[in-house]
This record gives sequence, C-alpha cells and structure tokens, in this order.
Amino acid sequence: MNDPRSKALAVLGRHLSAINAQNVLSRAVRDARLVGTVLTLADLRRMQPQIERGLRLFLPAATVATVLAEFDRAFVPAGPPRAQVFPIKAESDVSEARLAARGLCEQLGARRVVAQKASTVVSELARNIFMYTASGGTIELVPTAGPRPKLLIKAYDEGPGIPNLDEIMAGRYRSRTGLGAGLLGAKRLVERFEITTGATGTRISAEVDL
Amino acid sequence: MIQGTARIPIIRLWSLLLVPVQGELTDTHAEQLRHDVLAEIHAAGSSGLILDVTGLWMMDSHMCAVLTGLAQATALMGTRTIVCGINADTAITIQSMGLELRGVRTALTLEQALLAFGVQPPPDGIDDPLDEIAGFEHST
Repeated sequence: MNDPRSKALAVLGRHLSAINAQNVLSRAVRDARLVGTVLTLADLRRMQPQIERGLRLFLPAATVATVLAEFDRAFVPAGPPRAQVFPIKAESDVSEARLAARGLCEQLGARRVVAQKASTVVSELARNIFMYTASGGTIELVPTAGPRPKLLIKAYDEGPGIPNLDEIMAGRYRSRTGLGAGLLGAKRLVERFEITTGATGTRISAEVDL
Repeated sequence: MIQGTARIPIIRLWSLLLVPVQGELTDTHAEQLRHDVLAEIHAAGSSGLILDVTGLWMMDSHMCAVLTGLAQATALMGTRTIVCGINADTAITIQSMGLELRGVRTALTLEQALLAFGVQPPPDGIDDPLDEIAGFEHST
C-alpha cells in the first residue's frame, strides 16, 4: 500500500471520509488532465491546485492549508513535468490549454516572453480546432526537461482539412476570420513546424526551445 | 481567472469611453462588449474610445481581430480608438507573428492615450476639493 495513490488517499483520509477522499483525488486527476492511469509522485505534486480546489469544498481554509502542507511533506521530489492532453471542443478548452502551456513553460524555467510565445502558439492551434472543425480535436503538450528544455505542441483533428494551406503558409492569403494569420503566425513563433492536412483531418506538430 | 459571467466595464471619462479589457475574453464577452460600446457611443456621443489591455496576459490573432473589429466599428460612427497597455512580451509576440492592429492607434500607457485625446494632466499641488467638503485642514 505504498504506491502514490494510496499514499495520497492516506493523507486525505486523515481529514476526510474515505469516499470524499476518493472523490477529491479522482476529480483532481480528471481536472489536471493527466494522461494514463498510473499516478506518479510528480503527478501528485503537480495536481496540488486541483486538489486544493477539491479540498475547499469540504474543509475550512486553515485545514486546507494543513492538508496541503502534509501533501508537500509526503511527496517531496518533483520529477520533470509530463505530457498533458486537452480535448478541444468548447472555447473554454482553448483558454485552458494555453494556460497549461504557460504553466509547463514556467515549470521548465522558460523566460516569460518565451512562455508567452508558446502559449500563443497553443492558443492559435486550439482556436483553429474550435472554430473550423465540427467534431473538435486534441492538443497535446509534451515537455522535455534538461539543459535544453523544449515544449512540443501537437494539434490534431478530424476536421475537413485546410484547403488553401500553401497560400496561407506563403502569406498570400488573408482571411476575414483569422485562420491564415494565426497559422502562419504560429509557425513564425516556433523553431520547428510540421503540418499535414487533408480531407480526413489536420495534424500539426510544433516545437519551441524554452 | 475571470469566469464566464463577468462583464467588461465601460467607463465614461468626460467625452471619452475607457474599457479595461481583461481576463479570458470569450466570444460571447467580445460580442457583448462590441454591442455595449457601440450603444454607449451612440447614447453619449463619445468622441474617443480607449481600450486598455494592461489586464491581458497574452494577445493572439483572434484577440487582435476582436480589437481591430471594435475599432473599425467605432470608426464608422466617427469615433477614434486608441489601444494602450500592450506589454513588451505581447508586443514581441505580435510582431514575430507578423500580426497587425490595422487602423488602430496605440499608446504606451493610459496616461499617453488620454493625452493623445487632449486630456490635460492636473497641475501639481492642487487643493483637493473633496478635502474641503470633508472638513480636513491642511497643515502648512
């Protein structure tokens, strides 16, 4: 019973009923949009804002602070940040994805202007999915820690594709809605940009050196 | 984060309108803002609009389009718009992307935007009329 999940439940269980502890944790996992089912120690540290939100529903502020402090002690070493996946369907998903991108950049020690560029790229790609596909799509943020940290931004959807991609990327296309400016702008903000588009959808992969 | 129900305030300053754009501006907010601003200009006969974006942490192409759209609509009513408060990071990002705020005047700060509309700064050492009303005494 020493895996991170049980440990987290044990900490929460000191202040909440078992069912509420379960609730707070599974909700936090969902809200933090963590990929996969196995929780790591690093995940739990990163989920603190989501856990705090959950705790506030059940506990007074002073107790929330105590629980968070206990959490801190229980899960000390933060690992490198891990990949996050965001389904993009509504407008609020766009803002959630770009805020997460900024958070990841900050965790990786990026300068503010670089964090802003990366978040802007995410915002552009996510908004294109939101505006131009009926079925929505996905944004995936894959951070690489280390001496030369990077953020890989992937966007994919099964929308109708971008018919005039060449024109857009050559800067010859000006839409009234902004698709062209956003896509070309995103490309100009990153170190590497790949896009494939067709009748079955669009896949974009962009990499920012942080 | 500002939630979906928040409404952007529109502040009357003499013959001007000041709009502090902030938070996560959704399409619904943007549409509401455009409607409210145009209605206010019509009702008050405002001579200028200041969009202060100090409260925005980022501006993507969509946000630029929203702001230029608003400025163009007010221009149709004969009212000039100045956008102020774009910070250095945002300016660098917008410039790198090759975006432009077409037809929109910009100013560094709110003060400069007000000066551009002919508002004069208060002279130094002015007596505050509110002090007298409240009965405060100035020690000299």
